[in-house]
Formats: sequence, structure tokens, C-alpha cells
Amino acid sequence: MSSGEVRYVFVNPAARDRIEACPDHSDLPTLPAIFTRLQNAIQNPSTDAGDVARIIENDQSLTLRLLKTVNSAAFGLNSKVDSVERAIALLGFDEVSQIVLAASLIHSSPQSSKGRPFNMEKFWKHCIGVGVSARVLAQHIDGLPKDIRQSTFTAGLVHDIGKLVMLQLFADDFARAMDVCRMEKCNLLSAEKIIFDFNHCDAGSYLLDVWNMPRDMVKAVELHHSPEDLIIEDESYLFVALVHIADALTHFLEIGSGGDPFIPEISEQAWRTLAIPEKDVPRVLNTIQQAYQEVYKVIFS
Amino acid sequence: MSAESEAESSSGKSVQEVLDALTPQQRAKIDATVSALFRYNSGESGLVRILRKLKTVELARRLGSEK
Repeated sequence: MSSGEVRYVFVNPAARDRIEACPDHSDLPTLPAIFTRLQNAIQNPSTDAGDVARIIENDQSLTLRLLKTVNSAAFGLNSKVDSVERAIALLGFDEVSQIVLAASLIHSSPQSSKGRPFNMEKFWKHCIGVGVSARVLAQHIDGLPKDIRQSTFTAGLVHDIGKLVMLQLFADDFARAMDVCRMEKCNLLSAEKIIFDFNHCDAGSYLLDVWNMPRDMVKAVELHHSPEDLIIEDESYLFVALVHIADALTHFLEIGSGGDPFIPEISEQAWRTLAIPEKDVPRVLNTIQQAYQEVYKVIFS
Repeated sequence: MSAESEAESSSGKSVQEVLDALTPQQRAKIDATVSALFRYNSGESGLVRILRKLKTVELARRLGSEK
């Protein structure tokens, strides 16, 4: 799953048109510069682990966040990772650059909710929780392909980034959607659809498409509330199902808040696809809680 | 071992003991809270069933520890 693929072209046109027509379009969250530098370096065939490590090590605080994240329970590594080169050797270029993206995204994203009743701290806690949950679930799935495993943390972290897009570009309408959600006691997804005619999944997949992120990740963001919109044979289904279940477990554990007080509808088919034994569920939940505490401290330090 | 019975053994008291210790009013309150939380999940199979059970026990234990 490299980021050099053909762009995903099925982003909801209603979302694309409204976002691109917005006068504040330039306020869209941007990819952290270091991630772009890493992607350019990785695509150069002569780049080795030392070259990539040096790019990351130029930022000491980022290096520290990367190493602490990699050493957390979310990644389940048997030995302590004490250098960026070692992290690359164990996880590969792609996963390390994805963790760098995750670790730098929160710091480079707007922290203001533009005066609207949307709690940014709880929002990022929820996003980190889903990233951690997705990575922990990945450890419990036998035979999960490496290219899926290495994108789980980032996909979880960015799954709700469409809310940030809506908040930044359409703050008043987004606040109205939250009001509808509160007054009608419906989920935010339905309220967004009423107000915008598209939802945060559409807005998020638009942004990831603009960022030229891997197609599977764009699909996971677009379909994290509706995995049943994909046929089970689709090559992205497992990845989408994993992010969907990670979101549900994070809601269940009450880690942060994406602005929605209810546990989203859980697809039984998505759960069955992960093939995680029932007896493992309490252990998975405990690991998520432990890993979340570690990663949260690292990313917000 | 099922998810529910594993939840029992981690705390000392069995799930049934925890639930039996509740008054009917407490049980009704917990059931209402769980139903509200899972309002978009009407099914009682698979993961939803496990999570509903775990949440019920968690709330019951919280009530127990508040006594």
C-alpha cells in the first residue's frame, strides 16, 4: 500500500463540490512537511534506512515521540527499540513514516474549535484511541498482511479527520449539525447528512484523496461507518472492517469523544471478518486501554 | 472460556454475583443506560452481545463500589 497509487476517484461529489467552492478552502489541514519529505525519500530507490533515520532525527522531539510510540503496547514488539534505524528495521519504511505522520499531525493541525462547542482535546483523544485500537486489533488477527498492519495506526488516527474539515471550513453548519444531534438525540452522522447532504466520512475521504494517501486508507475513512457498502470480497474490506471495529471499541471504552455520545452501529459481518475469538475481547480491551495511556502521553508531551 | 466468564475471573466476584447484588431499581437503571448507549445496535449477537454484557457488569461494579 504505497502512497504513489492512482488517486481514489469515488469521493462523494457533494462533498468535493462544496469543499472546493468554500472561500476558506485554503484553511484545509495540510500534510506535515516532514511526512512529505519522508515520502519523497522513500520513493528514491537509492535511499537506505540511515537516510530516512537522519530526516526524522533532525527533529528531536519527533524522534522521541516516534520511539515511545513504537515501544508502547500498541505495537507489541518483543524488544526495546532505541533508535530510528532499529524501528525501520523492525517495522519498515512505510509504517515508520505513517507513525511520523500520526505523531506530527496533531501538532500541525488547527487546535481551535473556532468558538464552537466542539472539544478538540476529546476529539484527538478519540482519534488516538481509534489508532491504538486498530493497531492492537491488528496484533490479534492471524495472518494479517503486512501492508494492512502497517497502516492501521494512521488510518485509525485520521478516521474522523472529516470533522476537522467541516469545523474549519463550515463552522456554523457543523455547530448546527451538533445541535440537531443533541436535540433529536440522533447520531452526528445523520445530523451532518441533514445539514450538509454529506457527512464527515465523505469530507475525510476527500481530504485524504487530496493528500494522495493510499487508496485503502481513503476507503477506510469513507466507509468506517458503513463497511457493508463494500462487498466482503473487496481487497480493502478487511482494512475497512478493522477501522470500523476499532472505532466502536474506542466509543465503548469512552476514550475521548468525536462529538457523538452513542456507540455507533456495529457491523456483525465486519466483526466476524476479523475472526478474533470472543474469549479474547476483554484482553483486547485491556491492551487498548494500556496502550492508549502510553501513546496519549507520548503524543501530547 | 467466554468473554463474560473471563470478565468474572479478573475481579473476584462472578458476573452473576455482581448482578444478583443489584436491587430491581438499580438493574433497571443500568439496563436503561446500556440500552441508550447501544441505541444503534438492536442486535444481540456477536460483539454487541459481548460489549453489552461487559458494560452491564462494569456499571454494576461501579454501583457496588459506590455503596
